[in-house]
Amino acid sequence: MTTPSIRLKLLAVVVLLTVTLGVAVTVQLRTALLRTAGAELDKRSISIAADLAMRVTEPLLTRNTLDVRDILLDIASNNPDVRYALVVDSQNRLVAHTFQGGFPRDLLAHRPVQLGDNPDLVILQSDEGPLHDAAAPIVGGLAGHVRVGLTETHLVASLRQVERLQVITVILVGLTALGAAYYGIFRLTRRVQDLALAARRVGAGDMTPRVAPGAPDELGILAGAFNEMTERLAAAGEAVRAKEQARTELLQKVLTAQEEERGRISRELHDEIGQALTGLIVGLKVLKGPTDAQRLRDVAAATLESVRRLSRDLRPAVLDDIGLVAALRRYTEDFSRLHGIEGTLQVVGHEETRLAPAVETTLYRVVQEALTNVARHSGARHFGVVLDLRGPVIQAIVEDDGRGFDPASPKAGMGLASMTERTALVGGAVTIESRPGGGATVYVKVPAEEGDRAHSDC
Amino acid sequence: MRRAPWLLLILTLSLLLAGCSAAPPGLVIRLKDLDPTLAAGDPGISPRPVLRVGVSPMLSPREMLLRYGPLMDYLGRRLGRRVELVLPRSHTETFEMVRSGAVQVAVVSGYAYVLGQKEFGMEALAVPTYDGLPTRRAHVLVRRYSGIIQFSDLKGHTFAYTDPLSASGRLYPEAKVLDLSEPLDRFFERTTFVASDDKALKALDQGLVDGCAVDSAMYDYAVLADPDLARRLRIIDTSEPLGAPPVVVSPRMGSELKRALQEALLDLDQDDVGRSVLSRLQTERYVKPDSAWYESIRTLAAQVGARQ
Repeated sequence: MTTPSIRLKLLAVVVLLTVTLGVAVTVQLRTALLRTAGAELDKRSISIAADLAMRVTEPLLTRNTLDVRDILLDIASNNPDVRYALVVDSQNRLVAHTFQGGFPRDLLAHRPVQLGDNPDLVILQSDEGPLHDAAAPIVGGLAGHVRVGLTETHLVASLRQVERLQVITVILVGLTALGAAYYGIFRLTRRVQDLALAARRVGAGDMTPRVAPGAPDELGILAGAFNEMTERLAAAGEAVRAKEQARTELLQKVLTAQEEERGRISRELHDEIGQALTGLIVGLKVLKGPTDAQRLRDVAAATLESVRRLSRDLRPAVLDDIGLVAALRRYTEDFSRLHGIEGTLQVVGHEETRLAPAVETTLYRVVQEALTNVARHSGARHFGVVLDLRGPVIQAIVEDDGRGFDPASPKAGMGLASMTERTALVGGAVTIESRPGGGATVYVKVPAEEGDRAHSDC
Repeated sequence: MRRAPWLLLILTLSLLLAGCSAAPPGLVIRLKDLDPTLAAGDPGISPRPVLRVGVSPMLSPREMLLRYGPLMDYLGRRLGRRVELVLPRSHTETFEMVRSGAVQVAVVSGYAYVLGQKEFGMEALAVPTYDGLPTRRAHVLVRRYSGIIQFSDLKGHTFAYTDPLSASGRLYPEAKVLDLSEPLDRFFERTTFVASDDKALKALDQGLVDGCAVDSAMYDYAVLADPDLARRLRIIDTSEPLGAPPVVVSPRMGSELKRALQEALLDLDQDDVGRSVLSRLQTERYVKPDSAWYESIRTLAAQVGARQ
């Protein structure tokens, strides 16, 4: 058995309610009408009997039976509800009646008449249905009595009519209610279906669907919330995609940088250390005197220095051993000496402050990259590095007096991406202030307590 | 739980419909089973001999029944018979019923007695007294503010007689017309016979006629029932004493029954039951009749040229 839809259930409820109400009202109306009309019939039979008793008095007493019968027939023809009327004299003898061709004996035999002050009314059961039989005395019973029997035939017929109308009304109202309910429910459930459809598409990754909110009811609120959620999902997806792209680019750059580094190391090994070692080998073959030995010793010392610098560039051991401040100081000094650009490192706060290894590595590398950029592109003659170790946010500032650039240009963006990425990994941010011809300043801000998602090995 | 609403609905409907079940079956009357022997009414067979008493209409049949019913019961007990009251529609009908024997006893008008005595030996047994007298008078009445103050003023007006066989209701006003040397057929603009004294008074009171003549005792009864009537109507003429309506019997009645009946009537004032019967009849007692009391009626009849 399949579960019926809400639409069907709601419609079933409406139909059930309408039919129940209709049947209940019809039945109740019928009962009430039957009771009221029955009582009305009782009253009428009593009233007709009393009226007849007055009218037949004179012809009855003067033995004018024909007149008595005429009066009875007149009453019967003027009142369709009157099934019969009869007059009985004081000796209980039948005087006149409205039947043609005989008289039903049962009517006298099965009906004891008690004439008193109150009208005598009995409901008789007959082969034609119930009869409201009223008896009224003539001259206080001295001259006999009149009996009138009213049938319920017309009453029942008019009740049927009312009932039929009622049933038609119920059906019409039911159909109208059904139509209205179907329309209302259709509109309601269509919104639900729209929502479900949109949700399914969003679930499949399509962020474009929006649901018309419609009336500001519960479903409208739901639709609003859904739209809002979809928008946020789309925005979040966009951010994820952007990050993904940046990550890919960074990976590319890392690989490139790695290749460059390897190339440089290869060149240095080949050009400097290789040549120096070749010189040493050649010198050792032709070694003749102490001056040659001295020259060879110098060559070996220079080679050793080259190897050390190469090693330091690859991974400054001081960062692990002596900390960020000392490493940066040594690097800036080397940088100034190597590139012939004047500049110093200024530290605010305790120089002995040790940060998390990842934070220290990041700051070191970012400053290193910023200074490399200065050396490569700015053509500056001075530079300055400020490291602020106070507070929960560590700040590093690298400035130069070079030719500057437009930070919004795509080329600049590309060059600065690896710095930004690296900083973002430890929850920090990079800001660049520069304009063409006006130098450049790089602000790096990193929280002192970095998260655990960063790695110290980059 | 899923079926609970349906069950509830069925339960509700069955409860509602339970109120509509039919009443317990009792005796069923077969309206279509007609008995042709009852077509004209049941004649019935009385276990006792029936004495039919006709009473001429002086009041409405209803009033007559209420007045004479106790007398019939009394006579029935005294005579050991089933006494049946017959209310003919006119004095003439009563007269003819006595003549034909349709009733054995009757209360007839004085003039009917005079006629019956002469024509077939109708015999009077007793006469009721009123104000101590066995006679009545005829009153001629008009509406008080009709402008008619004497009998001659009625010329060209409408007039209600009671019955052709009534001395007070017909013979006397006709005699008055003749006294004025006026032709009977043209004096009144229109005349009508209304059968009883109370109807004549009613017709006059309601303006259907301009004048009428009634028995003085009947007029007194009417004023007793409706005292204001005396202010609305005016008596413009009153006759000499006329013999009161007697209780008569057919000449064919056996002398034993006749004697017993006369005794019963004359003894009415002797016991409480009889006195209550008399008071209902608004009569002091019944007395033996004297033919001389009806002489004035005979004179009136001769005067107007009616049958005697």
